Amino acid sequence: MNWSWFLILLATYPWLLASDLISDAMADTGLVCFLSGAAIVAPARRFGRGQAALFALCVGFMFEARRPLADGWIAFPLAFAALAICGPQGLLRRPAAVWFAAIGLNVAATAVWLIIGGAGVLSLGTPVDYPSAIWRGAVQTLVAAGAAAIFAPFMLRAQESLMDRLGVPEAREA
Amino acid sequence: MNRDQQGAKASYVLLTLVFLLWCFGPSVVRRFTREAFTEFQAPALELAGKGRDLVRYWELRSRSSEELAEAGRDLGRINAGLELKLLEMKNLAEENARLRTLLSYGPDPEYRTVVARVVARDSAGWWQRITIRKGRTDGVRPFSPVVFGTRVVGRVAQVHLTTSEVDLITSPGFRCTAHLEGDEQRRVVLLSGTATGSRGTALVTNVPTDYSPPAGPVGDEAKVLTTGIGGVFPAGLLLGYISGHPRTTPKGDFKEADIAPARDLHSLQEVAVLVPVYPTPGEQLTESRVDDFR
Repeated sequence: MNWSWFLILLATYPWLLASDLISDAMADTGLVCFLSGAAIVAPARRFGRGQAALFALCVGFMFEARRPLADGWIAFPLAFAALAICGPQGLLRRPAAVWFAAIGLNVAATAVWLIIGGAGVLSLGTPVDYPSAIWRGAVQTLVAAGAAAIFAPFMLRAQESLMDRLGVPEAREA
Repeated sequence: MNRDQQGAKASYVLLTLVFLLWCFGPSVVRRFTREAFTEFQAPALELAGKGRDLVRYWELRSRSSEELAEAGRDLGRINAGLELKLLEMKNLAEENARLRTLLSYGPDPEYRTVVARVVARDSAGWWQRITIRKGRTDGVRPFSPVVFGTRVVGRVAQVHLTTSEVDLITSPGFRCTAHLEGDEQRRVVLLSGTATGSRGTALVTNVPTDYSPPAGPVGDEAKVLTTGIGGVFPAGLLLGYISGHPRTTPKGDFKEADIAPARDLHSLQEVAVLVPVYPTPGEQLTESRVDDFR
């Protein structure tokens, strides 16, 4: 196994850091700028299954590391999603399809961490205001979709160009 | 089934097995992974925090000398007032020590102050956290109180090598005992963070039904103060103010009220961690349990 997945991870990290810094600026609103879901799409469609899963695991662990979420519960769903993307590569050959996949996956991953976070809070026996939590969850999901829609084209282009330089083969025909 | 489909199936099975191993395997692996990924990100976060400090520094450098002279004058006046208060405090501390000796009371818990810059804030419906630029190497310990002046900001949740995560008082999972201003009997109530609202709120429960906040001018709400019970927070720190009127719980045996934090927790630039000089009762308990295992 070569190390191109690790180099792409290092190149993707500034985007994840930027999303953390945007979350910092938005802390007043109680919303998180989440990009980890969108970050795995481009590498997953070009890497082999092993590298794609490793890359997605690392992206997931990076999000979990500083947050009170159960270990692995974002990383492994992202890894399964990366494996799923490795399959129907024909669907992800058009740039528009990749963009839509990035938004869709970002929204799905957001839903996962919202559910995992909620389960963690409930296990602590903390009082939860359900209508407010559902409303906030919906807004957070919309924010995740918006963040992916805005940043994904630039992030995907940066990842694609680095993969071209590293000689990672183009996505195969389905 | 062609080779590609077989490969796909095998990779799903393998990842499922790894996931099961991850879930049911030794927790040290999970802890190590979390720590490794936190340390991987720490230098970049520190750099971002230092960049922000540099921007602030150049902003302050651009202030005129008249403004600085005025600020210096104001500080001089405040210093003069504080010197008098320090003398008063010294006399009170001596008297307190004398009385403690007379009554054979144990010493008050002592804390070492570690001042730390805030490098990142992270707030979602399910958590409100800040990351500070001090960690294990600076002597920060888990569960140490984090304050800003005499106001409680939160509690250290996780300690890494050079950074620490702090759970704000509005974060679900934060719990602390408290006294309410205006309660002559100083009965103990429970404060906990709640999972609601954009900025997060806290809820004070177990409020006696006969309690009503002291009457005062609008905007002068009753204070919620730490009790010092449990040895985590020193007594008398300000947790926040009761917002609105306490409401009776569905069972009717107690009241509860929302708490507005004493400070805008998301605008903090610097906080102080109060690291206990001696092991806290919780740490002693953990250590004795570890000894039992040995």
